Order: sequence, then structure tokens, then C-alpha cells
Amino acid sequence: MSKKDEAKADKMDPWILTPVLILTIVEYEVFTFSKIAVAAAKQDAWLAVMVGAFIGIGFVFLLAKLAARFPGKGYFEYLKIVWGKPLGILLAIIYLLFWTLFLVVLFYETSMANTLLFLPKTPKIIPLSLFAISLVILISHGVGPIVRFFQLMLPFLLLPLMGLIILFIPTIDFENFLPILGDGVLPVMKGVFYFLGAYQGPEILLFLAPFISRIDQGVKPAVIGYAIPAFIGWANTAAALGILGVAGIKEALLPGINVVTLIQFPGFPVERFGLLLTMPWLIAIYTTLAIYLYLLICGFMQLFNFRYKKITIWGLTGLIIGLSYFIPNVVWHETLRNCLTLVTPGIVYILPVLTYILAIIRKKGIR
Amino acid sequence: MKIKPLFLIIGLLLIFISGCWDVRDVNNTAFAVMIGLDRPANFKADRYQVILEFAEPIPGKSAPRSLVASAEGNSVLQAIQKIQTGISRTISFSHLRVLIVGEKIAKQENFISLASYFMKEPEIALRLRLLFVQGEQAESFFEVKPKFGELLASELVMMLETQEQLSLAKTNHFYNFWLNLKTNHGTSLGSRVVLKGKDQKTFIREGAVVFKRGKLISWLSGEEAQAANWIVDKIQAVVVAKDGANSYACQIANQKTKITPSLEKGK
Repeated sequence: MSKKDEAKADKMDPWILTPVLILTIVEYEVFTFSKIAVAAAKQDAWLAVMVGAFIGIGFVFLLAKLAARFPGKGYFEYLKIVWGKPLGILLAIIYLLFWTLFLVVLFYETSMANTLLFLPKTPKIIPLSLFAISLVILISHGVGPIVRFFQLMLPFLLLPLMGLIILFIPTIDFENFLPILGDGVLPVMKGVFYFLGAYQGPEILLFLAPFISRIDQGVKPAVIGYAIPAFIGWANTAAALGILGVAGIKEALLPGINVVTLIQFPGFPVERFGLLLTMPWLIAIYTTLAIYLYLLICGFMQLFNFRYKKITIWGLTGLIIGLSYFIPNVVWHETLRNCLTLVTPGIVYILPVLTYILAIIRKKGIR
Repeated sequence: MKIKPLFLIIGLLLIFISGCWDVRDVNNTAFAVMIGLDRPANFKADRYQVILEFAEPIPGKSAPRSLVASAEGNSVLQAIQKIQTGISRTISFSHLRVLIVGEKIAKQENFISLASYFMKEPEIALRLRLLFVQGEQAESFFEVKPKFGELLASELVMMLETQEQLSLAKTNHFYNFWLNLKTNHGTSLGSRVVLKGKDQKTFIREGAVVFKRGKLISWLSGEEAQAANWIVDKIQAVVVAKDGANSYACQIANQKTKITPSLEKGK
């Protein structure tokens, strides 16, 4: 076997994009997004998520096309080719800063959810350290083990969530969706923007592309990998709206949890349906943390030509956990989340699409 | 990196460290199953009286024993904390199923503010059942001895689950009632409970309670509740009709109501 064939044999099948995208996109926001969507579009929040999902699928299609134009190359590499070296480096730094902020917020949310729902008295540093140590072990072995871990975790995330969606159906009151478009189209469009801002993750496919053998066949797996979490998000928003109503969602701290506590089946011996959310929630947060931490570390090492892998992994993980302690309270966290939501569509969708258009204009990559 | 020892350490830490702070032993937990809210007799000192019914599991017995405790406070949370000071076990609301509200507090306080604690406490499931006691304090209701089993809360839950379609009583659970008040400018129909007897108290769940601007304004009898249910709910009403000297009764299996609002002089 030639060296080229060996390298090809090490690469992964394009279908790994589906589990990776699902587990990256599903995170804390999927269970709380209905609150943001309802604040923007009220009873039409479900419509906003649906329209947003279709627009998102369109963007993912273009992202997959961009990755296919530069087979074997990472996003940061062809950013320099398409935009020129100085601008390419600047854009890469913007991505690194964006991921750092996102990880800081995500670590804060992990400790917040943990305190609120699971371990209220345990010092925050204990569960965070346990998360961090296991994450460091996972990501230090490279992208292969991460992808295998994601493939293993996929059923444990999807099956309980799908089960919950089925359980929601009898409790939904369809009057809560009326009047449809009662406030016009503008609130729905606002909701669409927030949806695209809340669902980070599709950009992962641009960074995974060099590890995939036939990236030109990656469009379908990528679109499916985005459509499934979008459907879960839509179903959760629609269920929260249909069960809690606009007033209930506005009042709720965690609408995803409140919805589950309203499900009841007369004569059913167990009523703790909330437990069905526990495992997907933990898996979703853990996997999102793993992939973004990996990207941040790889991006940092690649951009600054830094060779000390262990120091980078431990150092950056510690730095991010340390920074999450600087978020003083929930109000600050909300502000940071809103900032992220506002910049996400630009960084995750618009910038890669602009890169794709520029690559076509400048005739860069495979045509 | 030696992975196996590290995983072993993490596994052990996961099991033991969290237990140092958040150990939750069933034997050290007092599970509240029913909560009552009243306006205390001495209203100037404290705003709320909270009464809790706990289910105490007894090993070897199928039915748990019932315990009742109450305290007064300036907020629902403060009153609960006062109850906690007299109980060796940690109070848990993870199995709270019924909320009973006395007439006095329901007339004086807006239910939306009264319900605030229940909406925000993450341990409380929103499928909570809600009942208003006519002419009495909620505390009196806790003196009722259940006809079946040991727990009054269980009997009520069973009653509300199996008799949801009963036309003589309005059944409106906590969250639906709250949502009705929020979306209808404080107007809603709630579930009524009436106490009977003096020494050996019993109760009947008949009629309804009327709320306007978030406060209790009136009670409906069984027949009035049936009429109200006829309009706003799909229930199995019993209709008694007369044909000359004879009368007959029939139970409605299916019904459909269509409400068409109309404007009179622009109002």
C-alpha cells in the first residue's frame, strides 16, 4: 500500500458528519431557546424556528460545497488562500476568540445547570474539574476518538429526546398557537435571526473536512446532521409553546424542564419524566464542549505554530474554566449569550458563504 | 498518558466527591405531597400560613403514613423554612401533588403572586392539582381522614384523575388555572371543595370557584358548575328533561360548543 493510500485509509467516511453535527449543535440552548424565540415572535415562535431551519439547511449546503472545493485542507488554511494571508489570519483569530467566548459561556451554563438541577451544594469547581479532566483525556487523542465517542453517544441523546417529543403530543393545546402571524411577519423574521444565532455548530464541518475521505459526498450527511437538531429544536419550541403558552414560557426560567413537569398520564405509576432530559442534556453539553475545545486547541496550535500539545490542552482548558468564574451573575451571562447570538450568524453562516463566493470569483480551489 | 488509572480516579471522584455535599438519602427526606395556603388569623404579624402533608414510607407496609405540619411566615418560602426548623428530615417537593387554598387568602391576594413560588421552585412539578376550600381555612381540610388509604393527597389525586369529566364539578389544574388567569385578565374557573361534618370531617368535590382580576369573587353550586362546564368544556353532563308528567334523564356522551362573539354598539 502506497503512502497516499495509507493516508486515505486513515480518513473517515463522510457520514460521520451526521453524528458530529447533531451532537455539536444540540447543547444547552435547545432546551431554553423557546424563551428567546417567544420573546421575539410570541405565538409564532414555532414558525420562526421552522423558517430558520430551512434557511440554515441552505447555509449548510453552501458550507459543504465550500469544504468540497478545498479537499484535504482545513478552513484556516484556505481562509488565507481566498482572503489573502493578513486577512485570513485576522479572520482565524476572530474564530478563536468566538470559540473562547462560547466555551466560557458553555462552562458557566454547565455549572449553573448543575447547581440548579443536580448538585446544588457541591462546589462548582468539582463537577467542572471532572468535566475538564475527562475532556482533556478525550481531546488529547485527536479527532478519531472524539468522532467515535460521538457515534457511541448518539442513540443516548436522540432516543430520549424523540421519546419526549412523542410524550408531549397529547398535552399540547393548539389554541396556544393562535392567532398565526397575529403580529405580522417581522417578529417571525426576528425569531429566524435568533434561531440562526442560537444554533452554533455547522461550521464544524469546515474543520473536519481534511479528515474525511470523500468530502464532495459530504453534502447529504451534513444537511441531515443539521436537519435533525433543527427538528428537535422546532419540536421543543412547538411543545413548549403548545403546553406552556406564551405567558408560561415568559415566566419560566427553564421552559424545557417546565414542559416535562406538565406531562401526565392518568394511572401511570411514574411521573418523573424530567429524568428523560437529564442524560441528553449532559451528553449534549459534554460533546459540544469536547468538539469546540478541540477546535480551539488545534486552531491555536496551527495559527501560532505552537508545538507543545499537552501544555496547550491543559493551559487553554484551565484558562477557559478560570474565565467562566469571571462571569459575575446570571444577568451578565444573559448579556454574553445575547452577544454571541448576535454575532453567530455572521461568523458561522455569512463569513463561510462569503468565502465560498469569493473563492468562485477568484477561481480558488477545485471548480 | 496512563489512561486507566486516570479513568479510575475520575470514576471514584465522580461517585464519592459529589456525595460529600449533595447526598440525598430517602430515609433522610420528608416528601411533601400536599401543601395548604392560608391567611393567618394574626394577619399583621405574618402574611402566610403554610400547611404540609408528608408521606412517610414505612418499611414492610404498602401504604405510607401521613404527617401534617404547619408554620406562618411573611412569604411562602419563609413559612416552609420555619416548618423545616421543626423537622429532622430535609423537606422535598419532588412529589408534591396537591395545592389547597383557603377562602380568605384567595379573596384577599391575587393568585398570580400567590402562585409565584410554585412557578419558580425547580423541584415542584407543574402538574400540581389545585383546589379551593369554600368557607374554611385550608388547614381544616388537612383534618379530613381519607376514605381509602392513609394519604389524603393520594385520594384527591385519584379523584381528580378519574372524575375529570364529571359535569357537577369544575376540574382545573394549577397550571391551566394560572394560564387562564394570565391570558384572560385574571378571570377563570377553579376547582371547589366543600367540607362536611364537625367531628369526623369529610369532603365533597362539587361546584366551582369564580376568579376575577386574580381574586376569588364567588362560588358556583354543582348545577351552576354543570352549566358553566356545558359552555366552556367537553364534559359528560346529565340533562333532566320533562315530558308532560314524566321526566327523564340522559347523559351526554359527546358535545360541541361554538362561541361567536358579536359587537353591540361597538362594544
